[in-house]
Amino acid sequence: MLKPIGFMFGMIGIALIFFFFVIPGEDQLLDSLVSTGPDITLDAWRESFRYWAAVSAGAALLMAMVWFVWGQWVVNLNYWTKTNRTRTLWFIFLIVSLVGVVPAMYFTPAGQEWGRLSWVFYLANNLAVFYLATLFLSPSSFKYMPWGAMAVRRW
Amino acid sequence: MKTNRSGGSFWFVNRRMIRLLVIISLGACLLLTSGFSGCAKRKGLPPPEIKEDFEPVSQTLKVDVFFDATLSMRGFVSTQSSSFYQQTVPLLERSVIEGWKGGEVSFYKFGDDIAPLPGRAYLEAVKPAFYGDSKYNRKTLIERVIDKAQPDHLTVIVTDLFQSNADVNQLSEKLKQKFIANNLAIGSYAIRSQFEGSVYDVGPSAYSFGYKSDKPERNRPFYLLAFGTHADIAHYFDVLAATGVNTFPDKHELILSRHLSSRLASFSGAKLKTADRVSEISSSNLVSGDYRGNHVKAFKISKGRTKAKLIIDLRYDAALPNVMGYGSDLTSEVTAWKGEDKGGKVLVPVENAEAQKAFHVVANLLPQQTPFDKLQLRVDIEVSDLPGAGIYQYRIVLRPKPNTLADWIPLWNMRDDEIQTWHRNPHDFNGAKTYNLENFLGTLQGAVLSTTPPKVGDLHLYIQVDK
Repeated sequence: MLKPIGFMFGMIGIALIFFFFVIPGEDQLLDSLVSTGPDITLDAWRESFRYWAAVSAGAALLMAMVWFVWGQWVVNLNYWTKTNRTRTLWFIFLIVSLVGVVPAMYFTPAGQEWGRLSWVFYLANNLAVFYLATLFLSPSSFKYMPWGAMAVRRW
Repeated sequence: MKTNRSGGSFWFVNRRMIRLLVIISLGACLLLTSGFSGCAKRKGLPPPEIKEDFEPVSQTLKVDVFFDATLSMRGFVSTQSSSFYQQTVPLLERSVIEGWKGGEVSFYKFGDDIAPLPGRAYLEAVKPAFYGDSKYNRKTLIERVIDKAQPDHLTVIVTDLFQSNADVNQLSEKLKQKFIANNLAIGSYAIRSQFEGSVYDVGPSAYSFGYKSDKPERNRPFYLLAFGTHADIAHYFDVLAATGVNTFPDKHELILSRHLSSRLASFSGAKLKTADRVSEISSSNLVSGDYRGNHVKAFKISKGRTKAKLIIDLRYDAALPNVMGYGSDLTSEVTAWKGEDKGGKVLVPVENAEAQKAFHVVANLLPQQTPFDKLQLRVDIEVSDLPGAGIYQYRIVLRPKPNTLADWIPLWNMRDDEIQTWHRNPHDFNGAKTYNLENFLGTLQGAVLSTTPPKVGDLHLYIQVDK
């Protein structure tokens, strides 16, 4: 019982790395590139970026946790034998987690130059959180479902 | 077996590639993390010092009122009915009592010399006998009043303002030194009143004319000249108007001072209309300490930009009434500093001519005609001409270009050529005009502009430039 809970905390840990290090790093990069134009200050634009980046990464974390709970406690252990179906399901979870990016894209003010780079970061963060969390910390029965897991998963 | 082996080899290579990819992506995340998360807060430049020096109306006030007791003034009190001049006399004291708690008024009469009018003696100014004292009724020596005036009092002179050219120059110089140079204002409340009597010392040849204002439009002007702070003069004139002067048909106020608005235009409520290749940022990013004023805006120009452009609309809602006229065009005086790190907690601003050259400002008031309600600032920055990356501070002082004198002044002015004509035909004399009025007020306005040029805005832009 402790191991799955540890895995879930691990997923939260991956998301925290994004919240506290990756997103602020992206924020600094945007600060050096973006011109906002007349309708918003750069500080307010960056605050909006940080907020929506956290929301979209949080959505990815949520979907990774749902994936974990589903694989750990909802389906029976033999389900993993239906590999293709499971991988499709993992992929669907990945796509659903991307929905978290849509409000971020919609509500972030456009900016005059380089503003759309925020969209790239929202997508990248969302995909990375979900992918890394499920790559390293999927339930044991489904640990090889994420692409590339065969190469890294040794536990 | 062979197939299996080669398949296993492929799988092995593929696994290595995937592992490599995973390590690279993890490494990229760490790089982002280490590369950008540790950015420390920049040092800023010191905040600007803005002096809003428009003094409010004084709590208590001492007022000295000087009556011109020369013979030319007698005509204002020799009319059959009570003239506007006579009605004004008691209002001079009443306005102080109503306008200031504990306001004190002292009265004097002047001409060749000055004499105090104790108690209610000033009310004699409504009678012809007041102007019959030969010790006082020959020359209007206003300059003596100026010498006696105390700058911390409000000084009011009641006169018909008949001055020769020499008088005007001497008087203007004294007013400039005593009041204008000390940031005090000069007010003129010009009122036309009924008149029946003689007007002396008209023009360079000092002609005398008999004059009767038989129609309201031929009423003769007298003036309340006031010297003190702008706010006190304006308040005194307002109370005078409210206590009765506003019922007089022909009157004009003018206050000459360095103040054209009760507060300088600021960025409070300002709207950034255009920001081309530049971003507004919070001023706390570039201004050190806890600056809470409204005279600063901060911007950031990112790497790679060669030009930047800003258009900012500011509110212009504190224009003062009855001041010298000015048009919509403003002149801007720009000073530029670049912040230099000399090891202290804040950057040291060092004046920089290159930075100043790269900065172009055009400012004007909107709409084109008065009343103005907006101040538009257009800034173009040649980023490529700036001397390197860093934090720049620009001070923009905005000054109006004053127009000619108010429209009524030339109309109330008596010209030399008219005097010659009237000398030939004395019945045509128009006493509704004042000799040398335009010269006198024009000289004073010029003195204000040259000594304490008015400004309507004092704005500071702090700009972070990344190169």
